[in-house]
Amino acid sequence: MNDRRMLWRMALIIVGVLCVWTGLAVRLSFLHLGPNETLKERVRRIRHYERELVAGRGRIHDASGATLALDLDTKDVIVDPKTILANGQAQAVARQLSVVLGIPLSKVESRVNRPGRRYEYIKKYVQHDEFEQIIRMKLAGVFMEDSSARYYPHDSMLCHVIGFANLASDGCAGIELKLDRKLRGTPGLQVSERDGRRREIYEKRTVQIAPETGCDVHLTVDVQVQYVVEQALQSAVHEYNAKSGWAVVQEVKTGRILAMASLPAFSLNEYRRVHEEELLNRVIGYSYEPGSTMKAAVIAAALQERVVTETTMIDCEGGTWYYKGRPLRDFHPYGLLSVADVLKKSSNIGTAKIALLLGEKRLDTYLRAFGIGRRTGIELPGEEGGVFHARKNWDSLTITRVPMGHAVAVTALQMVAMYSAIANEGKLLRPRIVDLVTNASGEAVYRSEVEVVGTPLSLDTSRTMRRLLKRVSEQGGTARRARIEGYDVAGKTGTAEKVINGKYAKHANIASFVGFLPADNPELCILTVVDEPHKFTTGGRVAAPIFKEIAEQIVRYLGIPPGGWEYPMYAENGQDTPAGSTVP
Amino acid sequence: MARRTRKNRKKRGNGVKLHAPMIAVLALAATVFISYLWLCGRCQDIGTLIRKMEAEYESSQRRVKAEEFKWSRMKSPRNIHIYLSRHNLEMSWPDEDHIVRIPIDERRAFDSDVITAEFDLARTHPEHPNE
Repeated sequence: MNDRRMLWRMALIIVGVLCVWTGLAVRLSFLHLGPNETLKERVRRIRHYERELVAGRGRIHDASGATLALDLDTKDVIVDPKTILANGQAQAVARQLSVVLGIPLSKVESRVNRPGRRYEYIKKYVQHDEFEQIIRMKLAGVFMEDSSARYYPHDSMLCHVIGFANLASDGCAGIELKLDRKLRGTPGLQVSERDGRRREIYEKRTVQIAPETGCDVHLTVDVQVQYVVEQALQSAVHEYNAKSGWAVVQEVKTGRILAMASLPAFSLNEYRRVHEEELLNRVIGYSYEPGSTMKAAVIAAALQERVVTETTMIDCEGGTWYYKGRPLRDFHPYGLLSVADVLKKSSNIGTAKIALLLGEKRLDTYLRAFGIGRRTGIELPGEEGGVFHARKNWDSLTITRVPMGHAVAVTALQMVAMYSAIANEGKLLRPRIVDLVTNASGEAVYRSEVEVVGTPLSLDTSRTMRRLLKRVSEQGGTARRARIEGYDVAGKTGTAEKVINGKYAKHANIASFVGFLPADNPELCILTVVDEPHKFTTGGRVAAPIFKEIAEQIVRYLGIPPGGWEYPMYAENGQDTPAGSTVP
Repeated sequence: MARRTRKNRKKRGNGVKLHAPMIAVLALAATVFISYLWLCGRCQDIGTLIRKMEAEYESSQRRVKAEEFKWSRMKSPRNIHIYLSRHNLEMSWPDEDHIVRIPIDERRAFDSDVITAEFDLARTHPEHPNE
């Protein structure tokens, strides 16, 4: 009897177990094979793994290969206050994070002591060394998320040229903005499935697109030259308690910009704290009345047109001359001066009379051929074209005012390009600051070349002008302070009163000097400008010494011999005659 | 009468014929199954290794970038100037009279590549005239 009952019980248990298993099997079959799309989709979504592989921006290098801008992988440090407080470690964690991250202890404590919160930022964009230290500490409740940020190793150096990219990796100024599309990388993609611990299952990876880093940009600028320029400019602005200052160095025969500095400057790594005024690159974005530096262009044009020769005598009227009822004055009174001396002594009256001999039409044509009134086309955003009114809008005095650098506004870059043209056998070159752009595999995608924009002067006139401008730095000239031991310097000083509220201000000057060296075989053209200097206000007293300080060091650094290089530094794109317009 | 020990040949033959293919199939299935399991495990191992190496590569790249940043910052002209000043060192570029300039036509004689090439040529071909 007992045996039979036992048998029944066993059978019942077996049937029960079978029923349960069958039920489970049926449910499983339904789940897997049934038409339960919502559930399937949910599972698929949970298991789906998709990760965008961040592609960094390309780097920016100088001419010597020094890195000026690069992307760094950083981490955001986050805490889980609930976990930390539950462990009773709030004080210890806050103290350690404060020491490593350099944040005040009270600030970290205020973030950690937030019961109920599970996610609090402590610091964003933490650099490698710091986050490695935090990882090593193994603090419970402290975790990190990947981030990336743009960094500039040279801080404020070249700030106006490089510009900056924001946290979203968008170029916002300078080269970062101008070449944003090239610098920006293409992100990669990984599509796969994840396991129960939310880790990617490699075997299930179906898509793997590697990220492509953006192109690298190589500039023509040299950080050593830039440093020399910035130091000289900084000390001059400080010495003369000036409002601002700017300078540019260009290779005469190639148009390459070796340095471009503008003060006040700002730290590229802290661009969010910059004032708007500091953002302005005055070399390309500020138009000023150049003053006497404009005289060289007028005299060059007159010589080219054979209106005068260097020995033609001009009556400088003893310092004051009335034209159309308005007086024109010289800084020092002069009587008869040769054209060469008009330039050397910087006579306003002499230059105005030469311009009258040249005539409005030819004056206008030559200045435009020198690039006055239009952008140079340098690879930087925010370039101004200056102000040079159309000839039909000139009044009867304009022809006497433009030659002395009034009624016309130029940028420093236009002025340096003009003097480079005078120095470079009359060929006006497009200034260029980007030398090469290479892709992630190192292949060149863009290479800048010497570009002749026009030929406003002949070789003979260019040589004559070199000789005349060389005299300006000799004894009796206005640029004696620009002279360098062992080198012949050619150049011109400029002192212009600033226009404030529509009137020329007597006590607000712009002092400038633009020159090239070696005078007979020019290699470098340098322009220095100081805005509103005090104590001394003239170009010869304020700007020429900056030129000297810069040029003295650069010629040694670049190894330029006193007679210039023996061989040409570039080939003219294989052309016998340069492209571009020629003044008839 | 001798005891009959011989088995039925017909029966014996039938048994062997039935079992051999089945065993072969089972063995094959088992081999395939074990191979599949082994390959699956191996793939997982390799996948884990690849993921680990990918992470290591990314980490190394991060480190390289961080070091490059530090190096660039260290060798910036401003930093070098600060370090020199800290050690009371004043440096300037050489004066013109400290520089020996070699004319371009004489430069060939000082070109290290040319000297090395000529030295190699003289050593390998002693009879070869140098000029």
